Amino acid sequence: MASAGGERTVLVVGGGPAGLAAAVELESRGLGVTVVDEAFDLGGRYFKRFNAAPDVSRGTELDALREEGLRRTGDLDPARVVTRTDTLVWGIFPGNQVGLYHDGRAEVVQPDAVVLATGAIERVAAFPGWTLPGVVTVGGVQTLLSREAILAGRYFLVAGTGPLLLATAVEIAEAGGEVVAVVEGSAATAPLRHVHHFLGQARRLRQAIDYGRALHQRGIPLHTGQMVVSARGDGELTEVTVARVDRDWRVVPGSEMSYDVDTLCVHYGFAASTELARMAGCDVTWDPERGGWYVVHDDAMRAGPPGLYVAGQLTGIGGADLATATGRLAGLTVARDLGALDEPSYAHAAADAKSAVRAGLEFARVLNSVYVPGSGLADAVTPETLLCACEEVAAAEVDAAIGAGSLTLNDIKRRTRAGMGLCQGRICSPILRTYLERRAGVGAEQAGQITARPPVKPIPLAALAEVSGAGAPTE
Amino acid sequence: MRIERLRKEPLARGEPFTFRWEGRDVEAYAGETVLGALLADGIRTLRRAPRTGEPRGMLCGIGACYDCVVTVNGVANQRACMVVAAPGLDVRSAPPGFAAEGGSDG
Repeated sequence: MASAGGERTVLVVGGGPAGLAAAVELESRGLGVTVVDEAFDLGGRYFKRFNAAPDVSRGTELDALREEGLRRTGDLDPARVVTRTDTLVWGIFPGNQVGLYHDGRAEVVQPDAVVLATGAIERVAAFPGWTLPGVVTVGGVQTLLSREAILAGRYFLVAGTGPLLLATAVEIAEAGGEVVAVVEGSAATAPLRHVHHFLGQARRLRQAIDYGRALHQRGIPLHTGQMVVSARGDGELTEVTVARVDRDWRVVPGSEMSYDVDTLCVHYGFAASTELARMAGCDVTWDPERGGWYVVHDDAMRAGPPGLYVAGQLTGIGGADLATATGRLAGLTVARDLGALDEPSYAHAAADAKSAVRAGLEFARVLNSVYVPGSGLADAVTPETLLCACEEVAAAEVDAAIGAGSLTLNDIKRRTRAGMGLCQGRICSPILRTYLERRAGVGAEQAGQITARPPVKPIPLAALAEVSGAGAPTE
Repeated sequence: MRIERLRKEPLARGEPFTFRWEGRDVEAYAGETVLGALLADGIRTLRRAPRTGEPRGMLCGIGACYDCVVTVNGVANQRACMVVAAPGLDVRSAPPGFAAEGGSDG
């Protein structure tokens, strides 16, 4: 973080659309910016960079995103913006001290402001066979395809909920994969209840129509009101069974049908990666219209302790346009608070950004209401189904914990070890929450979240022991 | 099941190199992850879960789930989706001191 002449420095955590937008605003106001990302390239999940084979086309959709991502990262002035990829932020401590880890070495830095733009990860669901090789996330397949031009299988079923299913199916087909079907849990009529909102979003509506047409042209069937109930294979995936569901995603008995595929792409929405924000002392609130847990912030993106700001999916699940708007706003507010932007200029620029945020939130509210798994999602679970893949905790063990009075994720973790493994509850938390709700009627607020502790992702103890920088952090 | 890397023209992957998976050579190109190169070689099962012994491979593909962890140059629990393939890397399924396929402590 050291800089010449006492320049004010800002650390942006996450190099996706939100973090990049914040960085552009900050550097253009003369602030020193460091963008940290755990991946080995910037762009996040949305603007994927392309390390390998830059001239290989992945299809029109992904090629357009590549161009946009390259343009946005190209906008950053290397003289003012330090890019630290392959760098994990493993903790955040009082006084906005931030723990970084790269290549065997941990350090603690203390910038003048921190913008958390840590994004979200995809929700997966537990059903018999969900941990088999061949069951992957939609985003994982997209990332592999766009970044490495490698398709993760040959015969695909794409299942879950949301517009991303259609986009991914088209991308897979453009790349030469065989998509046997797209299985959407929401009813076909669900988006129609909100059609007036879509009409205000010409570009989105257009995209949806284009994807629908592309699926149709390729003969890929779209089945709505169905969900995956099991996956099978002798060591690796060979067969997936789906069933019809009602509006709450409760299975209609006798409606099961099976597909022979080697790859099942799942996606049940996103869960914001709030671990660092919570560790920093930010409050989180459950709001289905914001896609679940989000970080409480003011209308200028300030959150928690002084000097901390949030942007992107942490402020509500809403896609790249909303993330970009929140990133811009966070960058402007940081610049104002650090004295790099006078009040009239700020008011003018922020008003524009705030209006983009409002429009983005309005649309996000619709998407988060239409494309959300119903409580029946948990009905595919059998007593033997693992709810925590890392610690291999089966539903029967969680049932016993519930029976013994464990009704929060932290309690279930203490009793069963669910959420205690390498992923530290990232994957199993939404699964456990859905399960608790269905089996015990426990709401998300009551279930709570697993307490975030440093390091948020595993790093070698030896590196932690030799932490250098602004001072050894204490919990 | 062997998965083809996309082969549209112009192909700009450069020259392939090899790294080791369980003691045998696997081909990779610059910029590929260990996960990508293994998938392209038809390898989908990366390890056995320690308690149930069930097979595991790629799940999230973006470094969040830790299902694809392998041992790289003797260091356990490295995410195959986050490690960039490099010539001569020694990648193994089981942690050091454990038999291949997640057997008992060796």
